[in-house]
Amino acid sequence: MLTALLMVSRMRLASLVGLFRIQAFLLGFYALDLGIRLGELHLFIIAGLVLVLKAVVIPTLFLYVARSTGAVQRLESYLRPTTLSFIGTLLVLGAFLLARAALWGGTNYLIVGVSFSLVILGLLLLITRKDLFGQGMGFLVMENGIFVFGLALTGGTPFFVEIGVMFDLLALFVLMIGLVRRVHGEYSSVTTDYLRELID
Amino acid sequence: MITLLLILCLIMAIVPFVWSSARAVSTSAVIMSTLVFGVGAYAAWPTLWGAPTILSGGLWYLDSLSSLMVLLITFVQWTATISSMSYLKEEVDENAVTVPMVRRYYALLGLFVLAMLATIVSNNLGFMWVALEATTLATALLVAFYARQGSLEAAWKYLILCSTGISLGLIGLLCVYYAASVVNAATGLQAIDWTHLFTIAPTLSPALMRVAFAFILIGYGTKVGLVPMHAWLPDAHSRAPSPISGVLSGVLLNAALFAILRYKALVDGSMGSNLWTNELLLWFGVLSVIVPAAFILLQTDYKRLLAYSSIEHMGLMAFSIGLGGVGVIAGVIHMIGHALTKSMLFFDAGNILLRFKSTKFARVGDVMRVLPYSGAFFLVGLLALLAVPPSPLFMSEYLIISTGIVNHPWAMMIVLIALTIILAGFVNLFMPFLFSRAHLAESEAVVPEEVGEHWGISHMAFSLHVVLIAAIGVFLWTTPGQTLLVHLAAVIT
Repeated sequence: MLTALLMVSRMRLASLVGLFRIQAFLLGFYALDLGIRLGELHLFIIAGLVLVLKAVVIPTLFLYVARSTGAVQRLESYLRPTTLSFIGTLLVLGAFLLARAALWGGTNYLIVGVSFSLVILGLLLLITRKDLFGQGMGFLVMENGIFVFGLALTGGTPFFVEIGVMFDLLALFVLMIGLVRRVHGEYSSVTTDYLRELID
Repeated sequence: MITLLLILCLIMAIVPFVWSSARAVSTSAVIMSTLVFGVGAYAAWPTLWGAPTILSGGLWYLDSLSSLMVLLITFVQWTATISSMSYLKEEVDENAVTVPMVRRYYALLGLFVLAMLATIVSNNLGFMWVALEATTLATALLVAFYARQGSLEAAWKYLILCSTGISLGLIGLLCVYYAASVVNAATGLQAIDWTHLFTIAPTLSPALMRVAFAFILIGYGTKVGLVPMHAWLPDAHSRAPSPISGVLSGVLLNAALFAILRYKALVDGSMGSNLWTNELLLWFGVLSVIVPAAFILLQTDYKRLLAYSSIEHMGLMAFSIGLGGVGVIAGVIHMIGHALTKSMLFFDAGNILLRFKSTKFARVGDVMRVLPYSGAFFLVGLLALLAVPPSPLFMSEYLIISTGIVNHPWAMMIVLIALTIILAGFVNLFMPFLFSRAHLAESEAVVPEEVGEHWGISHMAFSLHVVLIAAIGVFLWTTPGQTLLVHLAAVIT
């Protein structure tokens, strides 16, 4: 799950999405692996959904919208890429320490550590990125982290809840895309520099 | 019955697409929402007074508190739809809004109500999570309704902040699920049924439940608007169309708080006492009262001011529930009073906004003369919000103060100072707003050509609110009222 760390420092949209795709593949295979080991049918279905949605549909749509809005290929961030990778590395270390400290029962603390680092790195992306695409990506990475956490801890939430969560995620994603398009139509830009009217 | 209610909401979301004119769309929406209110009241009334019931094979769970929430939600969505009717009619007449937009508006409103009700009546914590996230999704588009610059920003902020928050809540939910699966073999959906968890609560690992509650409080607290996580709230509430702001502020925040309370009961059960959770709620509450006080004192925008006041009131609710004992009763009263008052004020602010075309204090004045009916209702609403008897808020704040002084004198002192500042801010800003135009700069002031207004359908809705506020305010002092309150508070503690 080094992909998230690489994502933090990636500035180009295409490579960001590509890394997300790889991450989603790994996620799907993890669910598949778990499904084989636990022999539970619903994990297979979920693995399939993850592969289809997160590794194929979402990245493709993302790139499509990026192209159709003619978004700049180079994204902006508040911090320089090198600084970000440094902070990211530190945070990952912190996440692993946290996972070890909070080690519960027989769960694999490596996986819990990975999920914590994904959540934290997702937040980092969310906070430091200036553009809507980067922030959206950050959110999705965080969501992946929570997904791994759920799998590692309990072998996934009950099936119907998992489906509900997936559906919500998809709807959220569609909404995000819709908003990005509208923002683009209004300002011809996707950076949040224009979105800072409402402060007091 | 509850299933029927939810299906009705779904129909309410679909019906607007059948009609072609804005008028027909509005009328059908009002009819549907009246039905929803009727069915909601019919379904929730018996359980409000009686014993909790599990319905539809364990899918829904109604106890007195959730029945109360169902009543509040269905009532507020009803009056919201009625005020939307006149609000949107005027916007359509001025070509600010097109007919497809009106259709989308009512459809999203229906989905929003559906998601809120599902949050309240779900017995399963997982479904509750899904429904709460769905409220965010449905309202994000309503916040972005005008597609103007400010509303897009508000919607983006709202979407990202609330979704992130609720995702953190999901971690909490997973912890609960894990805690439950460790002690007991029940897996699958049933393992996170609230009623099931509640019975096995004493066997759940307290350490794990504590971690879970921290995540839940931070996560769902974002949606409640508790202070460090409140940044989205003033933006979303001030940029959304006014009837929507009313529903957001009046009942959505309560729904999120309700979800937190459900978890609180579990954590308390697992830890064997409610001291820890109470302490957390108490201090989040104190913070959520003092921070908005500063913003209220120096506010330039009246819808934002109302939004900050919502944060303050949610803070007060968290504070009083954190006090425990009588404080919980006060919290419930506050919930009722705030839902009815604040939603009416927002609906009414919509009327004022339509006439003056501005949400800035600097551009609005003399509301009492220009809009006699709306102005009068606004004044009544303000007084009720500032806890002038017979408003239920008077009773709740009275109880909060008398309990707080005994249990947590220092915290109470801080809250009282903040409340005084808020009162000063309200009076300072709203008295000129309502009664004089002396503060308006001559060049800036937009004096509407028309003076006076007709008694419209929205005023009917406001009268209903006022009558209810006063009636409930009086009723709660009577013996049956107090029995009901104790009955309600028993759910929380």
